[in-house]
Amino acid sequence: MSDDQPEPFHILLVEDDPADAGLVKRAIRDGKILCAVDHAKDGAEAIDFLRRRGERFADARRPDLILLDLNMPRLDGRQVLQEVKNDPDLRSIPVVVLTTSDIEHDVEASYLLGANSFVTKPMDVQDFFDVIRSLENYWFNVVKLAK
Amino acid sequence: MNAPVKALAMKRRMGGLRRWWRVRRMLALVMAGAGILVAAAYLWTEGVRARSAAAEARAAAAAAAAPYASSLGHALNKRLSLVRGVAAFASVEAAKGDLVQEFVLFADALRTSVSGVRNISLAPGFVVGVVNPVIGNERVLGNDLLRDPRPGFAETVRRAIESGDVTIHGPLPLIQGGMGLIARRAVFLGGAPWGAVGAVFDLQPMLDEANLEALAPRYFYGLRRADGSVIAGDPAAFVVDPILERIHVPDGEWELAVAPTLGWEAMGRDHVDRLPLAAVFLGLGLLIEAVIVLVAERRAALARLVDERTRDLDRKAAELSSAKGELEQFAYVAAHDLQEPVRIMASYAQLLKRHLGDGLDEEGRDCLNHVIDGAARLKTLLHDVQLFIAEDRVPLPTEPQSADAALDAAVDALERKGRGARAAVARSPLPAVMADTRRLKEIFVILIGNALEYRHPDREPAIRVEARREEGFDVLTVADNGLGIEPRYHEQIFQVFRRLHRRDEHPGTGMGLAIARKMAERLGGRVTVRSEPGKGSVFSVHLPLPQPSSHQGTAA
Repeated sequence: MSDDQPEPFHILLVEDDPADAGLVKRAIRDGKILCAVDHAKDGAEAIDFLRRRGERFADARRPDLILLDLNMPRLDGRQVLQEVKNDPDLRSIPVVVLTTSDIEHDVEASYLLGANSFVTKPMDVQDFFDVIRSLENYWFNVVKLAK
Repeated sequence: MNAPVKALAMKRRMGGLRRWWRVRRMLALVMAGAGILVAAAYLWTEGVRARSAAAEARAAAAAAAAPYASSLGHALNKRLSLVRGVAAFASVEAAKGDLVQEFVLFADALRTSVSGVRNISLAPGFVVGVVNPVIGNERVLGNDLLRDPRPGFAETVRRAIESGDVTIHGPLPLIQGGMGLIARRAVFLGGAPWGAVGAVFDLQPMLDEANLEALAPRYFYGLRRADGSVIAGDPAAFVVDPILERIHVPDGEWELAVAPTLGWEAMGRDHVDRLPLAAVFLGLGLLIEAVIVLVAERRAALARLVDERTRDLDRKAAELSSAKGELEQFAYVAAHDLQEPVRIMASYAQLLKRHLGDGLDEEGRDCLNHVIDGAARLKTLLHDVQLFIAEDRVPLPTEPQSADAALDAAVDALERKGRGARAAVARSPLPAVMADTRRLKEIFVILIGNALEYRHPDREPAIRVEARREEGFDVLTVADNGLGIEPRYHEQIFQVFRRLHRRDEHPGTGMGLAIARKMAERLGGRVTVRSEPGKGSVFSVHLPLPQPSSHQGTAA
């Protein structure tokens, strides 16, 4: 990985809570990797974005990674995950589920079968930043290798 | 109670009810049958009894009547013998010629030997010539017997001549007044009729002698000749199916009819009156029937009541269960959703501290730290509550999982928190057990975390984790050399939010051991403690042994 790589790493953040979204964006901004973050404020918007529905998303970029919050109004994270994994075009995009507590993994296990990874939003900001960064590194490398 | 069990219970109840109705119907049929049988038997025995009672009554009446008839016959014959005697005397004395003088003496003597003799008369040539006593009988003197106009009178005399024996006439109204019986006998002298002797008897003394009045009040009687003409008593006696006794008299017979005063049926009842007895039986039967019906009604009512109450209970149980479910759902969602804002508060407080850290004074940093700590504690608390509630929702393991892996994860997690777990824990190899790694790791975190937290101030913590098998269980033990727990707290420590220390002494949510126990119980096991205050504690986690079939997966 090097700075002369011109194409940024595209992340779609699906998160209804602006404060949480702010934390994620800050963590990504502070990272070493050049990332472009698109923010969908709920599940329905995320699906529209991914399928480039409507004028607003006509030019939407296909993300390299989806960071998906679970609990959202309208279409929630479980439904978004199902939509993505059932869509042949979108299926290959890795999805990382953000959860409030580790207990959710087990309770929601049956809903989250298609998720590639889970991240529990940690209490500590530094921890959170570290987690997001490790995700970036991991997926950036995987995706670049796949390309 | 779940639906199939409830349905089964309902079915069983309905079955019981149906059975009970069947039994009731059968009981009613049996009762009705028994009632008809009893009634038939009663009527039959009544008939037999009535017949036998009538027979008994007739036999009794016959037995009663016979002596009276015999007495009456005797009284009559006594008087007829007297007439025969007079006739014999007359035939002898007539031959001698001094008849009249001797007759008076003889008749006097005879007359007083029998009561009710009106007179004794002598009729030579069939015209009354002598009568004794004369007084009161004057009118008979000179009566030509063969020409007497009274019906049957002369006829009787002629019959006496023909038969040569005593004939009787009457009873009939007498010339002297009253009812009497006239007896005659012809006297022959040398084969030719000489005349006749006669005697008139009052009927009543004969009846008195036979004591016929003694038949009353139970019986009444009638006395008649063979031709049907009534001599004495009540003619009605002959038309009520009486006992008939025959009394032989010269040229014919009399009939004595004896019948019960109140009729034969009354006589039968009078004998043994079983009507009250029958009434008592009937009443008793009705009472038993009533009791059975009442008991049956009560049982049916009771069954209905039990049914109703059971339905109530089922409904309430369902309501409770649903309420409990709702409450748990609410608590789970609340615990989960509350963690979000708490985490954001803590995160932004940390960001603030990061950006402004150097610009803040001591007090400012202190305040910010309290915000961060409070949020962190709240988050932990909510996390533990969620963990406790979610316990029922997390699936159970289907095959044994490595306890070593769970212990590794637990020690790593504690080590990351800077609790010095790795140094303190001494371990033996652990088997694969019927517990999922996540739960077992959580249990280890709680037990080892407690052992580190409640270490003895005078010595380094030493924690030993071992496994053994015991009576169908894998037992994992976590033994420490910490503070120990007084026996009276051994049960309390497993309760939710129960703490033995102030927060500034030892932090914690008070949820740890409650979660550990709930997890172990959910896995089919339990968590127990042995401890000696000042020396240390041993926590034992019992987990059921894997079923034989589930070994195969791990062997590969």
